[in-house]
Amino acid sequence: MREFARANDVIDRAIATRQGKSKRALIYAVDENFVIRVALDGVRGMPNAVKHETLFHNADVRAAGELEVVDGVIVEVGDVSGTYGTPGRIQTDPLFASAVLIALDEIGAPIESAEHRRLARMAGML
Amino acid sequence: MKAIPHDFSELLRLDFDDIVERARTLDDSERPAALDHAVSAIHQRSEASDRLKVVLFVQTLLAAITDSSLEAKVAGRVGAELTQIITSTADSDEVKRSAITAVALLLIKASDLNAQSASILRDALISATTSSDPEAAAFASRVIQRQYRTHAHGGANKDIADPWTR
Repeated sequence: MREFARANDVIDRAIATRQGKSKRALIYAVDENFVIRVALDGVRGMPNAVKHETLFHNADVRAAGELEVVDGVIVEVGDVSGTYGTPGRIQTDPLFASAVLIALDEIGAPIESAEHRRLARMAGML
Repeated sequence: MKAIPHDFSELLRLDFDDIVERARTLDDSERPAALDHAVSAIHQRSEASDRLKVVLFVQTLLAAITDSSLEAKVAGRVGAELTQIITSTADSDEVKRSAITAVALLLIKASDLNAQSASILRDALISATTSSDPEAAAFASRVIQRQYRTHAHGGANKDIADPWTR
């Protein structure tokens, strides 16, 4: 387990360096059935790279963006995907925020309570 | 930090993910100028994919701006351009969807909108509700409903001239 984690860390840092980022983003997409899929953001053009559109094989989605996780807990749900043209949709579209919230709650994903409230507010549930 | 490309030809060579990333790397002080450049660039581009890239750049810039902080003059100029896209017959559904998102963001990000600008944005959104693109029409309806609800309860945007009443 430790070796695997260390190997992954090396790969992550190598890819992050190529991307000019300090760390790789965790990307997500929510499909029509409120199923959420999550992966480490890949580098487009690299073999087996995972991008937003890869998560559901180019299908239409209800939401897509990035997740920030600290100590295993989701502390921020973002709405940025270039492929799906979603920047700003959490703030402007209640259905986007509610789709993420429903999908995360369905699988019991740990979300910081303040972030859960923010999403619920954006979804018009509060 | 990356310089803002004045002619946008460099930007248009990037893919959509990179355009979004570029918009996010600009800081608060650079975004109004970038919005102005982008609005000018829209006029110079006729190809659908180029126009989509520029409007996505505008959408991402607006998303990154602090709520109620965008100068009304800039918001008015950007809004006028976006409403032309929403009501045009030439632009693709994808460009129009991005423009609708950007208009919805303008209503949140503008520090103050005068009655004329607010009216122009409202009319564009209302016209989008009858779009032949069901996704765009439904989204525009949700934006209007959300905005109305916010105003009805004296919410966060209460200082913006009410776009839903003449």
